[in-house]
Amino acid sequence: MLTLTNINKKYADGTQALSDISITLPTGMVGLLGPNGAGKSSLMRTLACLQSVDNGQVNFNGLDVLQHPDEMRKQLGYLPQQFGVYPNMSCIALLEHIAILKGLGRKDRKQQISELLALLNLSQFANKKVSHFSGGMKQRFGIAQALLGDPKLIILDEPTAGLDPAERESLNNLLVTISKQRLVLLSTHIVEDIENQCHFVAMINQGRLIQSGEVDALIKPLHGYVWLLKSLPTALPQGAVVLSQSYRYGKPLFRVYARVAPAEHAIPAEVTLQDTYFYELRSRGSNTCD
Amino acid sequence: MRLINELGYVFRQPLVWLCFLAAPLFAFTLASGLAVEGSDVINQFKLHLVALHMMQLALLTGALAPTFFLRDQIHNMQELVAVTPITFKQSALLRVGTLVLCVFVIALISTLVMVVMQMHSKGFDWQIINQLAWNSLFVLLPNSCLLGVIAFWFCQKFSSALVNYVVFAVLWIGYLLLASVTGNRILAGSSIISETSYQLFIWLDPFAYTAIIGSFIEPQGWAIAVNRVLILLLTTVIYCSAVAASSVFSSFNKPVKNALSYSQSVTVASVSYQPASAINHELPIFFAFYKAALCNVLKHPMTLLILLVWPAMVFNSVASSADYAEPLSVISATSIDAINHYAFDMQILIGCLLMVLWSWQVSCYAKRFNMAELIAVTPVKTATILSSQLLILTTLVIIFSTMSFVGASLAQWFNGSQYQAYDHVYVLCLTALPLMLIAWVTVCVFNLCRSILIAALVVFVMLLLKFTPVMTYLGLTHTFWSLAWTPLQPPNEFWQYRASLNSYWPYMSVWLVACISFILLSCAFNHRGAGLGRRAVKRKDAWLIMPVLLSIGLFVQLHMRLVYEKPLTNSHKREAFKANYEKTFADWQHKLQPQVSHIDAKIDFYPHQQFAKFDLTYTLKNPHARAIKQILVGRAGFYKWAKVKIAGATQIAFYPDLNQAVYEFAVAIKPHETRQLTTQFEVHQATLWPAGGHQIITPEFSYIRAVPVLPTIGYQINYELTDTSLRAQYGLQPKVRPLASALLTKGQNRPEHYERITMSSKISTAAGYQVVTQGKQIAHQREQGREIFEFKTLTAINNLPAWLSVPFTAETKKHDGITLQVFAKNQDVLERADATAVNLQAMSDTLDWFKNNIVAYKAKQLSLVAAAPFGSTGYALPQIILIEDKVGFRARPSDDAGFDQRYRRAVHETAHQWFGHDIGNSVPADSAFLVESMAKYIELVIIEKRYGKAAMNALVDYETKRYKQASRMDIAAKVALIDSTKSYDQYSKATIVFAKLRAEIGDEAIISALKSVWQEYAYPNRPATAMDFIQALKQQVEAQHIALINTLFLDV
Repeated sequence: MLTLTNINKKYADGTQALSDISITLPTGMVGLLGPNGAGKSSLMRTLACLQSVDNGQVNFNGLDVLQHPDEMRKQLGYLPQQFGVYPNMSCIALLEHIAILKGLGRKDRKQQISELLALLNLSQFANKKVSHFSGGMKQRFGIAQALLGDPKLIILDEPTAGLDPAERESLNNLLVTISKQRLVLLSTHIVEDIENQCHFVAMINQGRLIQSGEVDALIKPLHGYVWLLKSLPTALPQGAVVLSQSYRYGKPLFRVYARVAPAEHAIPAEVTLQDTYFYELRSRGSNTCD
Repeated sequence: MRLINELGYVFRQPLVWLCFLAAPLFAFTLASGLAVEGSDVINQFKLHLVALHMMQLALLTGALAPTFFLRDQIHNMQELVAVTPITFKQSALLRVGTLVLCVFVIALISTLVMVVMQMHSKGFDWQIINQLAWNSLFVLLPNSCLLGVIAFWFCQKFSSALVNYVVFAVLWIGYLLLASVTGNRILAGSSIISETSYQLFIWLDPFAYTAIIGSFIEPQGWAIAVNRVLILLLTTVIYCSAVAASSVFSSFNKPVKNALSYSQSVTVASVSYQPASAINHELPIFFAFYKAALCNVLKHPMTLLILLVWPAMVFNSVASSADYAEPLSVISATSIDAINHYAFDMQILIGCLLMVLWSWQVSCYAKRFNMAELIAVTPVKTATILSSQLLILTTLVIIFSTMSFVGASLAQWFNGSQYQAYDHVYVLCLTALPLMLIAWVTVCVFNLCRSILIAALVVFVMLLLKFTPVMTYLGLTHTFWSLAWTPLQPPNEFWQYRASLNSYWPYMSVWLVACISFILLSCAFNHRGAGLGRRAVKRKDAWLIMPVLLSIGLFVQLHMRLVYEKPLTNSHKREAFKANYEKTFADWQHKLQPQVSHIDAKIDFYPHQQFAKFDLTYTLKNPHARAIKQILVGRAGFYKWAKVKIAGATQIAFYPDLNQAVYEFAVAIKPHETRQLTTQFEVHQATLWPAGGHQIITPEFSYIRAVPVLPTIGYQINYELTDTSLRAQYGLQPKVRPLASALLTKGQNRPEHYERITMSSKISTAAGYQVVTQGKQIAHQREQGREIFEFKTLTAINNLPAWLSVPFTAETKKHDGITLQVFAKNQDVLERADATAVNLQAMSDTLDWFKNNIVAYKAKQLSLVAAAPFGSTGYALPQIILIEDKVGFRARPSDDAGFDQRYRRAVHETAHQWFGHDIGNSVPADSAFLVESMAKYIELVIIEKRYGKAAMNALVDYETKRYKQASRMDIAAKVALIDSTKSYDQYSKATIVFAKLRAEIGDEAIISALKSVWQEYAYPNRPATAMDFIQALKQQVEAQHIALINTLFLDV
């Protein structure tokens, strides 16, 4: 559905934001994983036609996105990680404003705005000023505006930031529902969200694509090689990688990748997408993750 | 430590660095442009400092204040900072202190630049160092503190950068306005409107500049000391009130923005997501953008305030001065007069600043509210975004112009003046177009530049080039630097827009094309408000070269036309021309040259086609005792070389750059022998320059003075550079102009002969037109639909011919054998008929007085012509007087006038037939006193004779006030009256001096002295000088009055 070919982007200060990225993203929920500064926002802004690239091609359903950004914008829904709102405008007025910018007719926009307000639990605040909304409400407004029209590519940067667990669950359900005939590109630090909703994931680090594919397929190679340990042995087997260190009930818990049990007390663990993500980062020498 | 920490923040801000660079640069430019020849060094330095600080201190503080006081709000760091242990009072003191320090240091660096410039040109002087220290400590520092706390107060009160900017813009402009009505000599055209307000401002001027300038005339130590103490108290009060009124917690005590975070249950919506198709109609999108951004600007309290205050300003300006003609003289104001008081300087300056402000608000609207990315990703065409912004600015220009219209119309209704709505609408359309282009360009700059700071810098430079002479200083003078500039001049009732309307559209069409090209470029490379990456230049953008090339081509074409019409298009070129002329032809000063003794002129005026053909024959006479072999013939640098033929001579050298040629006679002209020089040329009214000065050819008024259009003979001393520093700059020897008072004793530079000519003119013009020139009209006929006039002078006249053609007839009066003519339009209108009668009366009275007391008028006719604005209100040529229509024919004395300005001016100009065109010429170093000052004496005696002592005293009172004001404004060294080249000495001081002299010694002695001067020095004797009159006067008075004469005329 969306094909990126040899995308490169270097900023004026010399930062190589995107380096030779080539990938094909299928329809449905697609997750984008990477540490801070990996190039996720640069990639999403590129796909949202907000910034140009040095070279490469982006093709969406046969449309050359870089050559025809206006056509791409007609099929785009976008929620940036941070955004503001105009002052003195109610939620419904601001949605109306953006709906007009998206080219919706009067009848359609009235109906869709009403539906989106209901879907995102904002109906009772429709006439309140968005600038007075709480973080979670503003985020829901942001999602509503991204869904206005009939976007075929929805780019969501941290859509669940600021949402409480119930709202998060509700949103995830909505996204899964609407992603059946469209590509929803989801960037989040909550790997669990991606694992639960996305069937496809792309991992980038330092501007490079380090891994991509169906979530199942990415997890599968680690199957049987992830262990849970309460403490690390003095020496790990050759090739073993400490994937994460966390605490459960105040006691440390280590997840370790190893071909063989790294210690006598090691317990085989079920592989998660997070293990794969950390494995990819660790095995490529990055220490950051979030 | 905290201060260092604060400075650490400050010196990371690009705006601070920009101020550190821009302010000294401004100081450098200012120091270069303010030099006053012959002025006191310390006073000049003080004046420079006042100018510098007055222009930049408020702007610096206003620009920097948000960076210091609103940074937490702007960058959403309020809560992070608020929870640190530093108290609000400590933080406030620290930030105010740092801002004051920063502004003080920047201003001090600028001051040091001035010191260096001053010392570079005048040499080292300890007094300057002392003055620098005194000024920095007692003027600059308290002023910085005052402005700093004002900024702090407003930032605390409103938490808005925009409010701060507007407050400081108002402070800056407001102070300049106040300074201009209290006689601050920095501001061109400023004068003391009221003595009381001036005295009050000496004590209460918040920056003490009035007292400093006042100290040039009389000591102001106490006023300055009291003022400084008051300012320090005021500063403390403002600071304490700001601190007391705000508390760091106050902003957190307000209802938080999260107030709408009600607890709510997560409901499972019964609806499902239904996509909606776009219909892709750009028009609703366009209007959505338009409506949202326009409402944002219009609903802003600052805009509402501006839109209320602006018409009030226009109302005030029009209501208070529309009927003003000149001091003690008023007119029945019309809408055209009202327009002159608001639609040009005020409307353009304020309009430009507002357009920039509104362009920023509109272009950066989404970015300001962090919505730019949301908007940028919508499928709106960039052209739609940009065009909606352009339309918003167009709407705002219309609203602004409408507010001007409302203010002016109300003022006219209030004054009960003649109202023509069309005049207002027409001129507002003409002035709105440049404003709209400026707004469009500014919008495009904000759309092209991703960084708002860079865009703001570009716009600042744009305004700098438009409103300051910085490019002239850099030697790159050109009208094109001023964006959307046209030569549009204020209209007047004489010829409405004739002066400049022809030149408006050639400029405006080029600016329009350039602006549209820029819009196309910014549409193609727009960042869509998000400030993110612009797209790269692609092959498909190649078509954009076409509008760019078209614009460049049009600019080049316009430039070529400008240069064709006036080759010396800037002061640097004119200076270079003069310097080059002097270097090349200096030796011709000492070569004997023939004099023009007669001019035979055949001139065809075509007023409607706006040109005239000249066919002239000069009779050249050798007045010297030796033969002349070569002559230098030239023409002013801004005319094309004319065809010149000299009987018996050939051109042996030609200097195209200097418009000069050397001719050599086959047989030298013997003493008293004559030869003929013939020349033909055409004079066309410039189409790209405003009509004015002494060369005008229009359907309403045509006037060609011989100087500088006619070819010249010999070395032209008036081409020489007179400014000492310019002479040094061009490598010319210093040349000190001899003082008039020294001419008699040293006997230097005294020509032996007057330059007199006779003239015969045959002039044709369009049907229904009249012709005015020197000499008696000897024939008039109509041939082939053209009027043909012939004139011949009966006596020799001063060598300053002129020819006029006007479409109105003369009111004629035969007075003592002399035909007096007054040419003015609409003489049937009551006011104008009255003015004509007054002017004729003044001419008759002056002729009578001279005939009875000195010598009778020599010619048989004297013509007074109502003139279009030509740069002066009155001007006398031999046998012709020009008086500007407004002051001479529309005006009448105001209710409080003690004398009639029309009568005074007509007497003055008539008197120049004696003082100026009979004596008082032909001695270049000595002309002012015998011409202007003596004419002021004649004003006194004739006004007293006609209207009585009270009127004469009223004139003396008026000139005394003028003298006091002008004298206060002048820091140059004072000189004796007869040596002075300053107009306030020549006119106002001369009136005071002669009034005193008359009171002390009476008119008899003065008249006797004048008679004696005429007997000894009138043509054909050698030319008279001012000292000849003084000597003659001394001979007429008793010994005890000699000292008085010395005091009045010769002492400083």
